[in-house]
Amino acid sequence: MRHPSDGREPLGSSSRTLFAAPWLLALFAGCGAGGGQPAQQAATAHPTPAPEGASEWFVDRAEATGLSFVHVNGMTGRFYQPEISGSGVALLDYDNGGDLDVFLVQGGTLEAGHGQPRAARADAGGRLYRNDLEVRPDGTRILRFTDVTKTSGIVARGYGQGVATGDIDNDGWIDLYLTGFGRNQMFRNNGDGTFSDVSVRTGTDSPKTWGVSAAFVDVDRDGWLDLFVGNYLTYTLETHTRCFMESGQEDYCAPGRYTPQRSRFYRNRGHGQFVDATAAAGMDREFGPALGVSTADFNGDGWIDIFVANDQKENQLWMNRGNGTFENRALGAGVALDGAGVAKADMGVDAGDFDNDGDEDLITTVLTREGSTLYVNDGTGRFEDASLASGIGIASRPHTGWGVAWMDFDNDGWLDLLTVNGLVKQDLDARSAANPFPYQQRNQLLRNMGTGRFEDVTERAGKVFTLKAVGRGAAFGDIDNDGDTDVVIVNSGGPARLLVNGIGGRNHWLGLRLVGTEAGRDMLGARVAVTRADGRTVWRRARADGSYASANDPRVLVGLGTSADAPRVRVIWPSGRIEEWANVAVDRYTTLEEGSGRRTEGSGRR
Amino acid sequence: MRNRHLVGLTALSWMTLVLASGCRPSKDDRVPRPEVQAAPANTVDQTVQPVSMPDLSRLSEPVAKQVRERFATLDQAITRKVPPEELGRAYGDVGVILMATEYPVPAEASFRHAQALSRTDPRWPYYLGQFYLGRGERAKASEAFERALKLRPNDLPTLVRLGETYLDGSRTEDAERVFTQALALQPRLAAALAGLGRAVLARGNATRAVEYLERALTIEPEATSLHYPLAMAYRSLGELTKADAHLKQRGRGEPTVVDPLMQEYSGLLESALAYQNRGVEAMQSGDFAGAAVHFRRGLEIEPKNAALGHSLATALYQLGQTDAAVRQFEEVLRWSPKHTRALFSLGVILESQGRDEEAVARFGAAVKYEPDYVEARMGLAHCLQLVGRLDASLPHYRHVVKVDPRRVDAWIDAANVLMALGRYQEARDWLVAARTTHADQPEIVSLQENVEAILRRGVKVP
Repeated sequence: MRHPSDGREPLGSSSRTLFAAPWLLALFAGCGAGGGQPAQQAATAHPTPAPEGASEWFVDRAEATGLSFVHVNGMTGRFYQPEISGSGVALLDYDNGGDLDVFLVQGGTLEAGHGQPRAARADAGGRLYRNDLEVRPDGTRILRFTDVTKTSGIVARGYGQGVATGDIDNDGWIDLYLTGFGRNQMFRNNGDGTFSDVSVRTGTDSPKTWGVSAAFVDVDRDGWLDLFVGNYLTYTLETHTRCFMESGQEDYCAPGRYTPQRSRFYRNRGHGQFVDATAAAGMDREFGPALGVSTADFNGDGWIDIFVANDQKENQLWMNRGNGTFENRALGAGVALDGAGVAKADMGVDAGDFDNDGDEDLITTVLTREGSTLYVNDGTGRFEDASLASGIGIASRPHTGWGVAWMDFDNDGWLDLLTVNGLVKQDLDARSAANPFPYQQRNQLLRNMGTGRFEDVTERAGKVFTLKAVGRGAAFGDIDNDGDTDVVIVNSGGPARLLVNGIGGRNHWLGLRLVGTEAGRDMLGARVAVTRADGRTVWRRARADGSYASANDPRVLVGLGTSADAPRVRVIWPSGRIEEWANVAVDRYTTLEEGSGRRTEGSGRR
Repeated sequence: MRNRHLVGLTALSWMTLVLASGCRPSKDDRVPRPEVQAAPANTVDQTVQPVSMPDLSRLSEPVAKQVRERFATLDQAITRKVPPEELGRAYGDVGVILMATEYPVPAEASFRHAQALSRTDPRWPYYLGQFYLGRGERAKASEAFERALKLRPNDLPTLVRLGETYLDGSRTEDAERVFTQALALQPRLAAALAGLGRAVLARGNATRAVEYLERALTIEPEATSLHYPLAMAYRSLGELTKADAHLKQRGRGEPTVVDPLMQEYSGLLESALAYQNRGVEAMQSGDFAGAAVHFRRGLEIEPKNAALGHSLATALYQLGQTDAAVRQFEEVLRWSPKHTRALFSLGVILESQGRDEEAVARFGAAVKYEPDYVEARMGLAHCLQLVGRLDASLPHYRHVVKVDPRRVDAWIDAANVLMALGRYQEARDWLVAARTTHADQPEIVSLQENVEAILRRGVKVP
């Protein structure tokens, strides 16, 4: 049954047909209300006052620190599909300066008849901001960003969607992969502050595709990072179709109007040379409109698997067979659909051990009315939908969620959830001349109570959580190296936000950077068991992927609560090797190198 | 091959209801909006704002007219100082149309006024519950449905919706209670059995869940969505074979509840798209004649609406009125020459009539305008073979598998073409490529074995 204000798109999407034809859609045309005048969406609108006495757990410091990026989505009333889905952000230490720099993906203006989409202005395109963090002797942290795009050599072409980070040639310098509508780009870090476009040389340019989320991960344990790219829809501006609500209002189409585009898996043959191994890996057989990607060892067999979140189609859980091939076991594992058998509009995703039982659980963000889905892993790669029992499903129902992460915002040792929200269907009550494209929503913070249930603490999280925006990508990481997780958010058609965490510092923490000796890079996929003095063990994972179209801080940050005792750390490297370190210092970052047993201590907070 | 394609294409053709069509001039949105007079203060819900007619400029004219008419009725009711029940009805009718046209703030206000004025009318709390459901506000939806149930304790739709709302709020015991109440009234209500199944499954009782869900499916086999929770229940019990069997049968069919209020709501809007949607629903339930009525009504509101035209043509084809269907598809193409779905559908019909060259032209036009239209390419490739242009069909199969390597039929058909042309080496290479995606597909395996055997015998390539 249809509902008013349905989080789903205008009726007539594929979900209603018995014959599963993705293009079965009831549309009709009237005249579009928007003319040809470019109209920038309102940046942020309608602040509502924070409750009296609210403490500032998070504060937006974007403008104050120089992170002055405004996303351009190109909305003009033509409702071209890519306008509703961008963009992402990356946290990466591109200059090995010991702090996280930021890359923000830019959209642009889409114009039919011009083949490749192009940005509205010559100086538009993704921006790279260098973090010039200063830590004074008294411990004061001065956070400053400098736009270094011009000198970086990164020229992002076309209409950007997402970004992934990883060291593709093991030279110790992190590289960038940009996804977009029309083409993708690989930028190799030259190690001198500049990047080179190696898209064609590496074989990863993927023309005429619509890539969104991507992930670097070493699936075959050969020491080289492979690449999975989630592609969304087969869509061109020339074949764009107009979609309307029953009342006559035009809006963006549901994804079922178009056919999904197959995702790609590229195997790294070494030194950053990739080969399209999608078919050879067995990933050609099934695909959907992919928006989110998360990699982890879901069944504990030592091989990294790939979860793909699809928009209103069954998700895929590509289980690594250990021989270069994958098998999709999503349906049997209970993660293809929600517990009621519904293919939700999965967009953002993250894997993490929220219940501290040693395995990787999954969270996906979805449309308003659907409620985010929590899949709880039983340790063998089989999952149960615990969305309702956990309280997450109910709390998230009013929101359309995108960027998301398991993050321990208060460092109490339990992974919480921060979701970045924004509609895909207009909030018509909010429509005005100042806000012609009303898709704004508030973000949400859910605190893990340690009992399997979550509490909505949004109202206490800070004024920034009272603001409404069209949230999309979000990257999570410790941007000021003070031991708690911060967040950079891309708002479609609006300013980026830098949410600096002000509460995590009340508890103790352990920071780890896991690097390979030969590779010299972050060992994405490495799993860490942190055992405290009281015997309790917490499992975490080094990862950059997850969220939506974004790349996270690859370091591992573990909240220790009130315990200041140095824990024991056991690392399971992607190669399968296991090593232990005793008495790893708390309240500071420590670099652990694979195989060497060496320990490198960085500066700490206390 | 012809029959297989014809069946496949026919089965698919009537589902293609996608379209584009032309523009109409935009409306002047500065139509004066009459304020609704405030009702007597002691009879409305004092906690909500008065209801005034919103800006209707974004609505199509027939729908805007409906809204204005209901507001006019409300205005008159206030002016005439009608009894509270009648005024409540007027507010409620306004609420329904505002809900349907997606003006949530005044819709909610209208329903709350209606509820306050017509305290014994269960319709308004029921619609309010549906309103809150639509906004994801489950707690408020539960409260509203509970009020409706108090006024009409034996109303099956209210019981089922309340049960579902409880379920979605993890109030499994309350859900069981109301579903049980529904079953007492109607023991064969599959929706209630399904709800009970989900409730007990949520509480960990997979055995009882299986009983309820199996019963529901026995009563209503079309409720194919129930196969999934049933599969999960069997999985919990370790019965993996049964779980797999049910997973394979899962579909989108929901258990039905006759809900007159929501049927009235669904049939409310006089817009072209609303009729399109009703027609699509009718098509899905096999009522092609009913679907045609809806599509025609939609075309009365919006003549030259290509989506409706295409839908109508499809319904006519399903009714066996092929000539009429062809004329309607051609009409759509006069409105919208690049309408790829209409081109495809015409291609299907022409092929079925043996007019293969004409079918080639139509399919070819469809892929010209939409190169990745896989079904049209398959149709084109097939018809090219029928007119003896085997070689010309191959690029289209290649394109299909590039866009969607899952298309086993494209791999197989192209292999057969290559073998028919005597290009055995190419056929083998093609089948090797096919097996990277479809390693164990029997027909592909068999074809590869055949061509390998031919090559071993040293058959000369013409």
